[in-house]
Amino acid sequence: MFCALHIPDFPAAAVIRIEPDLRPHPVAVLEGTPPLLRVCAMNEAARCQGVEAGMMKMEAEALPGLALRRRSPAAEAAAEAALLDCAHAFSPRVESIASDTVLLDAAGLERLFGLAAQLAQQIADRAALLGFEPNVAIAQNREAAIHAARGFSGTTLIAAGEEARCLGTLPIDVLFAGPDASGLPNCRTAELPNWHATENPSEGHGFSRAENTASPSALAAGVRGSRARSQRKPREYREAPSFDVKRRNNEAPPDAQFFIETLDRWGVHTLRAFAALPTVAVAERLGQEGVRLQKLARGEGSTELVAAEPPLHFAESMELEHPVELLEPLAFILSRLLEQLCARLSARALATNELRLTLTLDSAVRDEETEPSPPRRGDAEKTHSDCHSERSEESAFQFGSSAIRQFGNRSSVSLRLCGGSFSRTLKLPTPMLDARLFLKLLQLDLKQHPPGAPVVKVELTAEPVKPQVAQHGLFQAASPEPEKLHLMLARLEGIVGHANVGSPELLDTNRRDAFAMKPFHTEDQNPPRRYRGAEKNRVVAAPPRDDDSASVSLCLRGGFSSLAIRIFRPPLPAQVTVRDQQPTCVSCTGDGSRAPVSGDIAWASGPWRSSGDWWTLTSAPHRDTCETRYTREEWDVSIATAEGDALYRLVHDLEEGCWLLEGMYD
Amino acid sequence: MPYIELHANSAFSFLDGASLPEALAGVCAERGLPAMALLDRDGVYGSPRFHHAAKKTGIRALIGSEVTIRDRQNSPQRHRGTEITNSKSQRTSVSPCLCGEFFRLPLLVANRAGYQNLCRLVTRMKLRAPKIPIDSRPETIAAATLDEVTDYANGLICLTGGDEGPLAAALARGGMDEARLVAEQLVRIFGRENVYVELQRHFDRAEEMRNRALIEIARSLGLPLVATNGVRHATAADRELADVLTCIRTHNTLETAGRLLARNSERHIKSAAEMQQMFADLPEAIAATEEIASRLEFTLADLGYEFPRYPVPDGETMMSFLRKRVDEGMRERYSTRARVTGSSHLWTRAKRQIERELALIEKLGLEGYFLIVWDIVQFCRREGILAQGRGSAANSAVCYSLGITAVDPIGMDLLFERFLSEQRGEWPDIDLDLPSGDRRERVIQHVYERYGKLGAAMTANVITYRGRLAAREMGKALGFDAETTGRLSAMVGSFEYQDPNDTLERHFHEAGYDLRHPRMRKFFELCLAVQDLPRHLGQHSGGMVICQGQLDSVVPLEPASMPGRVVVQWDKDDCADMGIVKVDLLGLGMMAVLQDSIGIIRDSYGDQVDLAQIPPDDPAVYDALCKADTVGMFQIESRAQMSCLPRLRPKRFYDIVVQVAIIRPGPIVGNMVNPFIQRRLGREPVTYPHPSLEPVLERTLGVPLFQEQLLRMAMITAGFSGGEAEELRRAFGFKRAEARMSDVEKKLRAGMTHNGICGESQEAIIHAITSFALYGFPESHAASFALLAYASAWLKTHHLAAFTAAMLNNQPMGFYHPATLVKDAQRHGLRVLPIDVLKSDWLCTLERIHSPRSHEDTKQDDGKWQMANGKNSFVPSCLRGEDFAMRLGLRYVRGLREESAQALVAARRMRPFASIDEIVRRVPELRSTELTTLAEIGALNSVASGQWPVVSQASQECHPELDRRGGRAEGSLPDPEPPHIAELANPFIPAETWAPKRATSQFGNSNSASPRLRGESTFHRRDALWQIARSTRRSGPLLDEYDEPDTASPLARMTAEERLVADFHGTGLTVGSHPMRYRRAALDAQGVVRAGDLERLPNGRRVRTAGCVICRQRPGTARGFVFLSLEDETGIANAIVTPDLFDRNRFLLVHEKFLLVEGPLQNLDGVISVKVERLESLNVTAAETSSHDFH
Repeated sequence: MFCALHIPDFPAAAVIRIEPDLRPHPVAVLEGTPPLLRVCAMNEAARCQGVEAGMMKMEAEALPGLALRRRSPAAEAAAEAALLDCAHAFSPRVESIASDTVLLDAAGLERLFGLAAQLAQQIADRAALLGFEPNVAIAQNREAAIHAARGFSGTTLIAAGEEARCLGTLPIDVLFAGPDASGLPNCRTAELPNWHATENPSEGHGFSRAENTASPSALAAGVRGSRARSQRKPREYREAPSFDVKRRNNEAPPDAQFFIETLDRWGVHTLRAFAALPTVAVAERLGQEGVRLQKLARGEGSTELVAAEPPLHFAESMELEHPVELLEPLAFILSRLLEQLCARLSARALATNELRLTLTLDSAVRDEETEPSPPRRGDAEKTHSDCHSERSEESAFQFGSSAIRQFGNRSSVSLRLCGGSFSRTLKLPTPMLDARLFLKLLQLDLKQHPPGAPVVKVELTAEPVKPQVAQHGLFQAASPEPEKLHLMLARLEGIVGHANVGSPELLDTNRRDAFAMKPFHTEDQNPPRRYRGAEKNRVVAAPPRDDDSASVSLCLRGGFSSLAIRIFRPPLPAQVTVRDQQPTCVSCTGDGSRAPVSGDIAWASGPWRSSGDWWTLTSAPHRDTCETRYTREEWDVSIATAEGDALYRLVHDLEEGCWLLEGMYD
Repeated sequence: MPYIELHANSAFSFLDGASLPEALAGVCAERGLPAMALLDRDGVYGSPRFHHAAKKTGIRALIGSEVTIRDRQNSPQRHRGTEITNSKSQRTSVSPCLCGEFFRLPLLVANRAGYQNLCRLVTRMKLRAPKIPIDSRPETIAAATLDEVTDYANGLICLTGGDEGPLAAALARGGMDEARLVAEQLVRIFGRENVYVELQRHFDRAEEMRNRALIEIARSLGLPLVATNGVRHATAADRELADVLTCIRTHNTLETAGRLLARNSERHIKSAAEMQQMFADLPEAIAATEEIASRLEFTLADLGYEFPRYPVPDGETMMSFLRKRVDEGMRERYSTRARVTGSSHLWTRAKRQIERELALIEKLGLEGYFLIVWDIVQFCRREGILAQGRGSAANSAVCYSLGITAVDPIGMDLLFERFLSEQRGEWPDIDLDLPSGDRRERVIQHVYERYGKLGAAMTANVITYRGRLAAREMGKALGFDAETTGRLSAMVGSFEYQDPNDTLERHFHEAGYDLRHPRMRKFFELCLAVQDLPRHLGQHSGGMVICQGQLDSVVPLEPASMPGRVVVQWDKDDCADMGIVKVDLLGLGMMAVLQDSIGIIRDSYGDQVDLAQIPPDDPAVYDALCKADTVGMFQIESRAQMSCLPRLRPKRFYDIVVQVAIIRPGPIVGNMVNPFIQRRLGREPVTYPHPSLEPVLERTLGVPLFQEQLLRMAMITAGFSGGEAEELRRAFGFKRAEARMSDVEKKLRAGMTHNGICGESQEAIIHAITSFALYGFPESHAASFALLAYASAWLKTHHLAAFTAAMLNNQPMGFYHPATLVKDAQRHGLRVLPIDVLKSDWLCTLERIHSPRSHEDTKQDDGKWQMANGKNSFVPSCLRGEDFAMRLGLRYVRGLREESAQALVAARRMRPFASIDEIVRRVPELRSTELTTLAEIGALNSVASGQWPVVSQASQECHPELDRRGGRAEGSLPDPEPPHIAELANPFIPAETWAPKRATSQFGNSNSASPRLRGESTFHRRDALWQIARSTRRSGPLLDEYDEPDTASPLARMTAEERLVADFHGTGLTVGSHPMRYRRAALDAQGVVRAGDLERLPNGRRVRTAGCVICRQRPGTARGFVFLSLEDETGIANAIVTPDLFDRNRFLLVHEKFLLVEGPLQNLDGVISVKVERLESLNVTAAETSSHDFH
């Protein structure tokens, strides 16, 4: 006996689970990138209000009282995990069918939970506690249970031998629900079931319905199904193909469309009609896959459940008697936990490529003085991170760079009551199993990203992976051990910041000095170098910059000499006097590492003008990203200083209206 | 020091320039530049427009071109060792010059020889390569070689170009030495005095570095420097559009284009002061621009075009030969009529007029032109191709005598000056209508053969950015996904009329997009900015240019997409502006229909129809016209025409001429339609704007309807000569001649004042003339079209089957979809048989059927079949004596390739098919999807039905149309499913009369009774689908030869709705019942009146009617009113929607397929329409009916 648990309108359900206040209201979930947001899922209340998949955001906004939410992969992942938890609470043998559907082996559960109806009720109740409104179906084989859960709303019990009869009214499409049917259900109902004659297994009918309604989504699909013929490809062209159509096209198995269309042409719209076709004739026409599908339509199915292997979980934690405020004592604790973790991993011949540290912070304290750190230059160009931090959902803290000092100097910290946790994740380039190395890396990381409050609990989780076994070639050049390299990089990041470590890579744009920091990879890890917008046939070697190429070219051919430039990062703000549209005098205060520059301009070459990205946003919130238009004039100027003439590059940023000293020619 | 821009690209460099030539000329004049050279890429595409724009703005238009050169000697392969590849260039798939071996050579035309050389050089390189490069293979890219340039260098001045020029390429490839070599090579080719080292400054370091190298090279070789700005757009603001065009050209988005985009916005037209400031260190480079410009003597005014001579026999001149041909024709055309009528007046007038015309032709040296057109017409006659001149040529008695036109200008008193005038200084324009398709192509190829590939070419058609194309490509460039782009482009365009609230903002909002979003706003701006910019060069539908000698020395030629076609680089307006004479060989669908109809009549009935001999006053034809029963008839089938016909009540041929001309924007905007109709109906007295105009306007009751009348009005009232009057017409009608228009108007007013016509009369005349400005027919043209209209009406009235088959075989054409044509034909009593693989050919054909009634019976009916219920009594006499039905052709099976269909037909002719399995085996060309569609539409039913002859006796009694021999006999068994049987029985009988039991529900209980009892074959569409599914999965070669008999399937028969959906999906139409018939019972209950019953209701009665929307119109002349045509099983109802109602129900009106409308009936003078006050959508069927929208 199997029990299937299905959450209809999963993306919407996942959102409502987080915001239970929304439950009685119409809710639609949007997908896409602004300004092209479309509705991808909705709850029943929204459906009744006329919301349809594929609707544009503005159209949806016009509907009164409709709550709109963006689709949340995190919420869906959490919902999926919760669904699995719910199933595991009843049976150890659980199979994850899709994000929105789980199956559990219900054999023998009657001793614990009573009859099937009672079991189903308890499962539904527990799911409700988790914030779901599930469909629950119990049947003698797994497929029948899955199909019933997907097709019928509420609770469905199917007695042995009654599968064909019970499932007969379901639409054919239910057979082709994709493996990841997390969106709208992929079913159309040609013939809606009449549930008014509720049957009860105890009465000998072998089929019971706790609710007298078909699945709302199936009902909605049924409306579409009444126009089934016009929905078939290619005839089904509509201006805005709905989400479910796209999903079916994208996610249904390649042959599914063929089967759906063929059966539709044959006028076979329900499982019952399909089941009634002669098997040999079906085999002749649809092959063995057709026969298999027909078996499913007849309610026949396998009794095997592919139980989800509970993932190996390597976690160690320690609750501290007294809050720890300094890094050093924390390191002792970390060391202990790491040794245990490594020992456990070693016992299973595993290593780890990801360590997650979660610190529960003392709810009584908080750093009041720290402010959110401003986005740093270059962050926008960060394309990938080897090591990243993430705040847990509960954490409301933000930490600034000054926190490193504050963490070690309690006297400078003023505290107040608050609660939360702090977590850091170390992603390692290769699987490792070295407790000392891990400790060092964590120490470096915590120095750079201090938690900001005393720690009351430490938890370490390791992602188990197979250890890397590789033999270096005999003639292979020696390269640093990955562990050492990673340690070195971590140290460097601790000094210069995460965004400033990696391999700079020029972007394919006319924007001056646009580059991205790519993470270092070992030789065998290097992916093909791609550039912004690189397309299938555009994986090319790094294109030389136009200006550089020309100068290099001429230089090579023996025409002229060329100069090297040291770019100031960041450029230095400058005060410039302009006469006759030419800069005549510069004054720049310099910074800690560079001396002030000031003096009359003896000679200027320019302006060299560049502008671009005119199609991008210009509003202030986006100023810190690369996605802003730029208009600038560059001047190569010779400034007379006490040490003699020096050549600088002076930039007039016309968008910002400021002058910058960008670099110095050697 | 003056500066002249010598290097500019317009938008006619196709996606490599962002401003029209007119914009360039305008900005050029604005910034005080005395001249500018337009160097479009690989051609002189924009030169005519630039020439005229420059003339208008008072600058000199210099001509040149950037020619793509492929230098194999300097290919990257040869320089592998030292190559620094411009990898940015390599990524462009369509910019050849950016690759190592290609560069672009700017060439300026110094004199006519240079222009001819440039044209020949471009022609040579263009004709060598395909129109579109194949996979960017270098050899398929149109490029000249330096050897070819050497051959054509005379008269050309060479600049060294900017970043795409030869020196930039050489510098990148091999540095200074290489560049010096290339410069020396150019000097050898063009001569030292004709090579200028070009410097451009766009505030770019790399460019300046290159400039330094170029200066050094120039000085070392003693070559002069010249400054240009490499203009790509008129103003700095246009740079954004230029970037977008770059993206489109290189198949990128703005995000991915990277450094393919412009570095800054400096490639715009700069003033002399700006350029002087930029080149302050090199004043000689600025001075050189003036020097070069002074050497460029050539302008397009000096084109040197000469029309070809016609080869005549020895001892003849072209004129004498023409005179003989005209004389022969005149005798044939006029003397016979003069003899018959006994009047010599016509003969005398004709002779006098022809002599006058010939004298003018001789004076203008146009005899060759007339002979060439005559020769084409002769070719058509020999080949049996219908050909008829249209347009102003019909004003010429010479054309009539030569057989070029079919309208007698003497008899109709047409104005010759409208065709040809000495003062006008323009070539005449003769348009020949030919049957569209292969026959027209034969004529075109004949012209190519006769005058040579370089002596004749098609005129181009410049494809410009408009509504949807603009939206689609701008969306792509901005990186919108395909779905969004499609959605955005779908909402652009729409109706001809745009009310003030019809803003794009509103459309965006309604489609769910927010224009406040910056990117959406940018999309919107770009869509507006790109309007009217050329996208690429197409081919005009029929304009041919013929030249004495080599056409390629007048304008460059290039290959068209269609194999065997060559086009010139100018469109027809440009050709006309440049004084190049052209012959329009236009494909006219109706000509093909007429010719095909004649062929079908000959083949089926054995009758030979001669269009010249059809009776001109056939009462049946005029009856049909008076009833506006004109679906399918040429020019008089539109809704507007139909609403006019019952009021105009044509009784003679000239009425049709008026009818054709009156529903045009000119007369409508000029408020001439109603006065004419009121006068014709005697409700208004006939008056004239001035007594002197009575002779001119008498025929049209004092209302000017034709262009000739306006010319004559000008001649009489303002004393214009014929040429001046024609100039006036052109001035008003010519979209680029506002100044000319006001000049002529002044002249007109002055002339009228001089003749004493002032005040209201003068204003009325001026208003009448200006109303015609845009669209009004010349009388001769209307007469030519009226001939075709009458012929089509006569054929439809007397040979409905053949005419309908020909119409369906020449789709798309006309105003209505095939589904509407079929329904109309059925309502007129034509039996339309469904597609059947055992009967259908590729085209629609006629099939002899066994008439349910004897010949004598039908005769007794006086041309009308009395229907069972007597309600629908109109069946014209066309069916009398006809025992033919029309069989739908396989061309209507969607997705069926012609080669498959022809293979099927060929196999069937060898031996009929006995089973579906046999079809699959014997016609391997048929794909499974094609077979499935055939099965789905019932085209395979009869194959298997042959195995089971099951049509019952009972059914034959009910439906005597069914063949008594069991359904397999010739022409007897259509799709044996209920609706088709019903159609065969009588398409006019309401559903309840032929199947009362089935009218109980929307689609009836068609499956309730056994098929046998219902008189159907037991083999149905789903049986065929079942069989196909098996037959297309072959068991293997061993058993291939053994056909499986068709067996019954366990599948349910399709319901009526399913059959409708399948029919519309598979063929776009149904020969079964109209979808509305299935809803009739429910609609009757709602009080919905059938379209056919509206005529019996009084004016003003509030009615409800409903139907399938077959046409939606919102004409520009109707002030926002929308006109709907709703079709039901009895006919077509017209509905008028006010702008307010349209505004409130836009979505319903634009998207719904079936509508129910309610409002007062307007039934005046036989014109029936419902003024809609309320409307709702109607759920009738999911079938994909289609509507002809947005005219």
